Amino acid sequence: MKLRDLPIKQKLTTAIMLTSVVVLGLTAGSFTIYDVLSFRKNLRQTAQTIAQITAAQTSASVEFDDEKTAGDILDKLRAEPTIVQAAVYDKTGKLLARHPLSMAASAFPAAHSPETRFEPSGLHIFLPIAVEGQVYGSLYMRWDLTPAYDRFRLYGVMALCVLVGSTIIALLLSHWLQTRISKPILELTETARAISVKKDYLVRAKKPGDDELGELTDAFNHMLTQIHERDAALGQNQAQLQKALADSQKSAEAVRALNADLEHRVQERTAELQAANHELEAFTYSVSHDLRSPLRHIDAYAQMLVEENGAGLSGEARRCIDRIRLGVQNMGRLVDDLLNLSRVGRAELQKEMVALNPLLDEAILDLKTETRGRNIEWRISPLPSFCCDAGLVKQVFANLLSNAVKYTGPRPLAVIEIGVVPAPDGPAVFVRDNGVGFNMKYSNKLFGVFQRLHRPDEFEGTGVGLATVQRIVHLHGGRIWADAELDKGATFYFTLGQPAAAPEKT
Amino acid sequence: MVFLKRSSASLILWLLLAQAAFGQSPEYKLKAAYLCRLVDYIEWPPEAFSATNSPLIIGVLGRDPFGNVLDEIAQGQISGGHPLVVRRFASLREVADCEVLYISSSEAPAIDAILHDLGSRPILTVGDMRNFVEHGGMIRFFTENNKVRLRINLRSAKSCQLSISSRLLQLADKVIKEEPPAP
Repeated sequence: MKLRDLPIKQKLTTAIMLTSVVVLGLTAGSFTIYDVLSFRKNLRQTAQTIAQITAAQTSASVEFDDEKTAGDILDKLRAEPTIVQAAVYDKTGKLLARHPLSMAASAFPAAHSPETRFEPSGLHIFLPIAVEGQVYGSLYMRWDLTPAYDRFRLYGVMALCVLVGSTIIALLLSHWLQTRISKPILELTETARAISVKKDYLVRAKKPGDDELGELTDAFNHMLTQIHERDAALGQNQAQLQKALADSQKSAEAVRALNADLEHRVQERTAELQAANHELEAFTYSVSHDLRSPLRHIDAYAQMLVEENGAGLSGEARRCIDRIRLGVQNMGRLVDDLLNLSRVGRAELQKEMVALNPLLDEAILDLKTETRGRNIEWRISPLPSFCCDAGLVKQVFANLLSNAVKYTGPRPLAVIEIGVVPAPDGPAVFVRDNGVGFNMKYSNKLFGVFQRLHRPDEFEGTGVGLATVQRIVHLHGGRIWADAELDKGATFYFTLGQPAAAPEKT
Repeated sequence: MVFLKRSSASLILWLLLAQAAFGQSPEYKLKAAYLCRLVDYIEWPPEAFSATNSPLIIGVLGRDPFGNVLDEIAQGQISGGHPLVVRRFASLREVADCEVLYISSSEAPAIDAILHDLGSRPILTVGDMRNFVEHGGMIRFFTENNKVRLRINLRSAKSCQLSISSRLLQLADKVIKEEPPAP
């Protein structure tokens, strides 16, 4: 386990213990080393001094070969029990005297040149015995180091005792410190944990004092206050947001309800309209259909009247009959157109890919009875292909071209132009003529049934064609509109949605 | 070991010297050596020497028992800066300037007169006759258990302004000290 992961209490204990052990160890070590060094120095000095004094004392006895006196002098060394051995040798190396006498002469070393050395057995000193520079013998002394070693052992035992004692004190200290340092931290930790669990930001940590921990606690409490304030502000914002959300939801619901209502009403209205339309179309169809046979009868009998009684009829009568037949034929065309219109309204679209140019050519070809003897210049641009009902679109062209041919009648040279211009909802196909045109203030009436801008004696027509064209264009999802000026010609535009293919270049 | 070698070397030298000394008795060889060593333990009054390096004269009065041995030993020896010099005197009258005077046993009958004549002159008197120190001589050599021993009359020495080292006194079998002051 790493130190940084240990609880603070153990960290404190470890720190105090380590400190005390290290300090104690260093102190004991340095004291011991100092003591050993100074002891050796002192002992060496003392021993050498005493050895020198003894050597001087015994010099006369050695010079005059007096063993007894030398022995007496050495015997006085009894007063110093740490001198465990002492001996005097004459210049031949013979042992003259020894201390203690109880020790056998063989236990003493041979005479040796001067030296001082520490050995485990003690401090050994050899000194020359000289008078006036003349050497007459030598002195040997051995000092016991056991007391010193005992003293060092005692130091060790004492250091161990102090170590144990200081360990106990360190434990007590760390326990005491824990209440001063780690307990506030633990309390703070506990408070923080409680707050994070309960989310109660009104709880405050107790300040242990004015030290760093106190500052920490203050900072912590300040942070709590800020969190609490922010929390309150956040709550307020959230409430506002929720309210706004509820409001917007409410309004959205209102809008939705309104939409639903609107849709419902539209559907209702559409259904009503569809029903009405259907009725109307059914009525139109049946009327138109039922009107055809009486008309044929009238025409047929009028013709029979002329053919069988042609000679007996006055000129006046013949004219009347011709007028009748003309009127009947007009009415027949009218009925046909109406039938066509209602058929277009009910038809199912047969959509396919259709190239408009061939369709246009067919429509122009179909108009050959009306264009016979006319001087017409056709300007035809390449047109795009559309996905549409070919038959119906051909009717559109047929109607528009027929109108163009009709209203350019007064012009010595009729110019009819068919082309394409871009429009927002796809390319718009146009049919332009240089005919009589019309006043744009009546343009709203253009596509109504039976609405005509010209008198029948000027230009014949039923007033159903453009209504049919508009219906077909609407069925394809397109638009139709016109642009014209009186005596300057007219242009009709229609769209059929997006093209299936770009126009072919010719 | 060097010390031992040197010691044995000097021992051999010693024996050779002794042999060379006309067959002198070992006792007197030792006494001659001791006589030369004595001077290291004696302190003379400053006026005894004319200079710090003037010779220290060892005189022999009467029949000389040492022969050449004494001269050999004294040769080259220096004590307290004073080289040792041996002189021989036939009678007391010849005794002039000396620091040590060995009084031979031949002078025993006149010992009291000799010592009286010397008076308080700073001369260390040495002898080996009986009762030498009792008569007022300062140091007596005598033989005991084949060893030369000393007997010292400290009172005589002091009266002549000579001081004898306590170390030497330790070796004496008997020291005659000052008479206790009269009550």
